[in-house]
Amino acid sequence: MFKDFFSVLFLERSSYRFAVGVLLGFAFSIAVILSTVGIMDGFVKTLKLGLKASTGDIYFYSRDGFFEFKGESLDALETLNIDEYTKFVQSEGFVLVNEVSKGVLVKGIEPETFSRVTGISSKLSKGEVRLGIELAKFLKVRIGDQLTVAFGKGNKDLNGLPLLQRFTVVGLVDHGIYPKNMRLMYMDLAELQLILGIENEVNMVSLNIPSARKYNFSKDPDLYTTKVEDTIHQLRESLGYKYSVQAFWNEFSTLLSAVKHEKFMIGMILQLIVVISIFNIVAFIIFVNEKRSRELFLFKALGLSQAKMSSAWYKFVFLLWISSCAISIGLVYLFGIGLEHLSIFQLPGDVYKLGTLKISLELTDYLLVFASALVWLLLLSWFSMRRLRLKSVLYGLRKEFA
Amino acid sequence: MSLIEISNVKKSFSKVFALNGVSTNLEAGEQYAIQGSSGSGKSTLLYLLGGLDRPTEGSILIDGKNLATYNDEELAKYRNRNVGFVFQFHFLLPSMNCLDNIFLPAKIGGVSQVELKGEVENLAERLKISHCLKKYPYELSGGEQQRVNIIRALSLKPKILLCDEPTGNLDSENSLNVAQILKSLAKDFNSTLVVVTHDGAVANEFDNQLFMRDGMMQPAPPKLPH
Repeated sequence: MFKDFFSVLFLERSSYRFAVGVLLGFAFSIAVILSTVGIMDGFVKTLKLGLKASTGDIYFYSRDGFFEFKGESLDALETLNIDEYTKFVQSEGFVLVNEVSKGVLVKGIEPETFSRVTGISSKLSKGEVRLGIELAKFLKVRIGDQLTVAFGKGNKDLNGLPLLQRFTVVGLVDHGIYPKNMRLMYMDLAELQLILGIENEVNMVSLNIPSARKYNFSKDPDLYTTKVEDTIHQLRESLGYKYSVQAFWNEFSTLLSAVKHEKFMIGMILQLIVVISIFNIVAFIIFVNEKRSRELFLFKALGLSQAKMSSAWYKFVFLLWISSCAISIGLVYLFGIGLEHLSIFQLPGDVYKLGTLKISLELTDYLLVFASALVWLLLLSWFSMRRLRLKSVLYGLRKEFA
Repeated sequence: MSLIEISNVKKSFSKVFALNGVSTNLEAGEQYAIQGSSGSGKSTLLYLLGGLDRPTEGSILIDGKNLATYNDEELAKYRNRNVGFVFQFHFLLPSMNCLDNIFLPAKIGGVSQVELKGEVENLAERLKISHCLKKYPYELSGGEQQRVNIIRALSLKPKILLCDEPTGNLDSENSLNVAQILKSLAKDFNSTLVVVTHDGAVANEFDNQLFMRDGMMQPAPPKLPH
């Protein structure tokens, strides 16, 4: 019966074209919401992944400044079965090269343990540095080039003047986050300690949660986040007030929180686009009912009840919804490819922290957007069906035969 | 008890009464012609009998059951199983061939088409349109389309066959042919036949003639001598 009903709806090419337009409009509006939500989720996910990759899961530092990483602080990690950790010194410096100068964040690291915690490969020997890729571009240096770094610690002979030291660039590091790529410079921990005259002291320790490899942040960020928060809580209890313990996302927590709220608000506002496109569907229902009123009234005259007629309409609307959802998935996929490959979508990294945006959508995002579209669709369709129900069969027949 | 009992039926559209207190009884298996000028309310009465709408006042009892007490689903089932409609504009769906058009009431009512096929083919042969069954409506003449329409109305063997100006689009010779076909088929199917017409020649083919004017039944006008 639905097939016959359907054949009546599309007796004419104009109805068919109208339906295709309605379908594409609805699909496009769903795709707009999905893409917006996906971009925001992608932004958050990429930012967090970048932060995690450059700092490990958790970092802590002493509120008193430099400290020796042994005794109570080391014991706290061992008690919690944390076996992936690395200590480092973070200081500020000034790079001078090719008549360009730039303030940088110098990280003195133990290459082997740092790699284990962050995944950043960073073999370094004395006199060698690795630069963030954006910093290297800015300074116009390549691997093998030499540069000079001015450290804040004054030399012994000329107290108060900066200490200048030459280094060879042996590698570039991509953190996936623009500010880090633009600011960070890595060198050997022992060498930096020597330069700064702090011997065995460090000012920060990074670590991964116990059994970190059992969990996957990309696949289940919520679970991973919970594990990180649990570990932070335990570490704070063990280390006490002397140390500040932070999660890897802490550095951009304000931005991440803003994006979360923005995502909700924009999601709400974009519902308007869905509602507008559903008005097109309502217009189609009214258009076909007027255009094919004779045939639809004939169905009723031959014994099709209003309930079955409405049911056929709802099946049509449901089919339209499913088709629109499927098309919207395709549109989002195409938009995702465009985002990654078209220069028009490149972002100013200094503003957005990331150079490019990726669409990241979970199953729940799809379900929420599709479900909200269905709710709007059913609601507005119900109103239009109700209006049509008020017309009696006789009224329709008499009007048609008048 | 009459098959159809109509008591003081009124029907208004936007405060204008199309029927203004109609009362009459129609017997099972009988054949009736309702005559009246345009706007007299004869078609409105026919559609109320067919359950296409509900009276504003009064009652229509079919086999003793008041149509007003039927809900939408029951009324639709009544239309499907008990009533056959023949409209002036034969109203065949252009997207379906004639056989599918004939089976439309069966599809709507969930009746097996296999069981009906033999009966439909017999009727088509009797009405000389067997060659039309696989054709589409636009390939047929007006008379052929009307005969397909009649087979569709009779396909589920309705108790009541309601015809609204069934000869309105036909010439006088075809009109009388169609009237004869309707009478003959209704008799064979034991259906009560009600034909609404403004054509006196067609009405004269029927023994029972009812007259309507201004939404009310009127006594039969005296027959003029030829």
